[in-house]
Amino acid sequence: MASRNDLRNPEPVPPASQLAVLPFLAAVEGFLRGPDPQMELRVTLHRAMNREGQEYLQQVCGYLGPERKEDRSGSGRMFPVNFGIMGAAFERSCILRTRHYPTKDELLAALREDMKRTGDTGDISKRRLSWLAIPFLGPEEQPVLVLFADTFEFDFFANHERTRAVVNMCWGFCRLIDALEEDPFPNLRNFAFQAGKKVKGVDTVYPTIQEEVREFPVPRFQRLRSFNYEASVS
Amino acid sequence: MTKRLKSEDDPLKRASSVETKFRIHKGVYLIGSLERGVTVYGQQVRAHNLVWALWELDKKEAKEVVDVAVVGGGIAGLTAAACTLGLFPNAKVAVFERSWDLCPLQQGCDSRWLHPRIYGWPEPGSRAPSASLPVLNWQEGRASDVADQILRRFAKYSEPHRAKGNLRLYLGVDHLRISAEKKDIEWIGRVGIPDGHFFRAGDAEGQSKKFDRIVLAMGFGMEAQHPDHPTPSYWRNEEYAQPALDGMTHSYVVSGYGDGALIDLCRLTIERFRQDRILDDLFGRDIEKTEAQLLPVCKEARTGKSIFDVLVATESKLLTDALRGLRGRIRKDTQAILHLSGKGAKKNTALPDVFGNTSSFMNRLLLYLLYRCGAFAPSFEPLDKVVREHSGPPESVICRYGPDTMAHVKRAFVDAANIQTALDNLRTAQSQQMRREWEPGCFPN
Repeated sequence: MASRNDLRNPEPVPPASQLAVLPFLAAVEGFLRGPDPQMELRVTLHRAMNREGQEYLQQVCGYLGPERKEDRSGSGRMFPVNFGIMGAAFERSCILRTRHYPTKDELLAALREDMKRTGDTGDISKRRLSWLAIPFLGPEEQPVLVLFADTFEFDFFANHERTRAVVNMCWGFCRLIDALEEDPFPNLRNFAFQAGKKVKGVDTVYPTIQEEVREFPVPRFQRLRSFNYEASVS
Repeated sequence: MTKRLKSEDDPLKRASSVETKFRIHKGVYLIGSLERGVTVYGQQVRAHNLVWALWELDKKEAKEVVDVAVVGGGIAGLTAAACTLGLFPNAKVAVFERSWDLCPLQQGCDSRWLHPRIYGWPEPGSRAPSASLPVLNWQEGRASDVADQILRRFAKYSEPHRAKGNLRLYLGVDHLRISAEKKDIEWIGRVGIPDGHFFRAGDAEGQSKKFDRIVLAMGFGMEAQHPDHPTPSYWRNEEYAQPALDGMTHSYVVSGYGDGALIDLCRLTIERFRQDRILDDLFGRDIEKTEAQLLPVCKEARTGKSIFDVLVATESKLLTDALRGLRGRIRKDTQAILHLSGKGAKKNTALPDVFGNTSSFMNRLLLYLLYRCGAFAPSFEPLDKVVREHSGPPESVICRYGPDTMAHVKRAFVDAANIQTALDNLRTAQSQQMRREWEPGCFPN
């Protein structure tokens, strides 16, 4: 019988697109990690991409994390636009993070309930404890990218100043990319996607432990409508 | 937590529909040979679609497929083989190539350009330089560069399968006879031996074997030759785009109006013509706006109607800058006659007759612009008469008529009569579209 796989193999992301985000993500990861080289932390970006008129979220590059500085295995994976916390950030055009709990046990109790509600049958002991998703909006309010980060550290993104700093870094990234849209490098161009019909699965964001963050303005591109940088001869 | 991406429609139904579009006999499939508008990218998409569809259907039927033959070691054949190896871990794949090397058309071809989707222009995304394919992906470049990318990726992709003995390659296959009824192939060829990123021909071997599945990725055969004016294949290197060094003006006759002929016309008439840059050269920073406005014209073009009158009507709104730019780049060292009378029963008598869907929209637009620049003289006379009056050397007559694909496919079969109806139906239906039908994420890579 033909083998079954989980349909989570990557579809290609142009190397130029990956390279355009990796230094930024390395900076975010470095900031979040601080001096702790052993901390379990992952950071990546997803983009809205159109494939034959259908819109998905696609992981732009591998995770920036502790074991390997850049693990390419995740690059190119495609997800429904409402997948997990990043999908919620995409659909609501809003920053989401794991809310503050007084103790780790209280968080785990809430997480257990959330896993039941979302049909997540995974092992809770292997679940990370803090998540963050930050959408980057385009000029017509459409989500273009979503930054995703998670860690085993408890109460990590509930820290307001930490999250604010990451949001500010995202704003800096938006300004840079907008400037490059205005005055691009030779032979490096953004071949924009059109908006497509959004492909949805079951909502899998944990409903209780994740909260919307409305205090910070959502990062926004003035010019960039979609993210698909490629090296080109013209 | 659901992890599976699901399109709104049922993948099984889609797979079933895809499978029928390729089937010419039970277990025997043909990729693209009888389709119009064929490109390297399109053939690869078809290969992905077919192999995915077979995989979906086999899963449902819990069917074990072991022996798979892929006839053709060009880009489509290698893609079909790699996709099969990826999705069917127990399959033993045999690839048969008539030439002495894989991707023989494109290897060493430095004067032709390959771009994944430019012939879909002005469709959104058509200028993106990457094919974005999960298996044997590539990026625009000279045909020789693209062949190199494909061959290196094929070697890497197939390496673990070769190590398990799941891939056999035959080169220099000068005898190959397929029985569609028996799903049997008899062949004589050289065993392909891995050599770094490539394969070389080893010892000769003759054999006959029954396969569970036969995938024909035979391409289109060699182009039909005019008996009096033989022309090297489109994929052979030539000098048409290079300025004359003797200071003289040279005249050429280009016969035909498919994409091959029109590209040669552009190379002969436009200074510094580069297929990869011409759209940016002509439309500059306005290209996206131009694309949006040309899209309805392109859609009309797909109906098969001549778009000549539509282009005339569009000129003042969209094409004036492009025309101005192109006028300044018409070559002074060449004169071109474009012979357009057509072959067979259909005889063309006027320029609008060749603006139907016998070429890509981009090339028809370039043809229109060149015509408005006075870059060539159209001729509808018999070719012999045109050539007599032209009186140039034999190599200045370029005939681009395309191959006889039906004969090419049938030649491989001992029982061609068994597949004739299916081939006729495929050619009429033109239904092997270049749309990516496979479920995203299904191909291991």
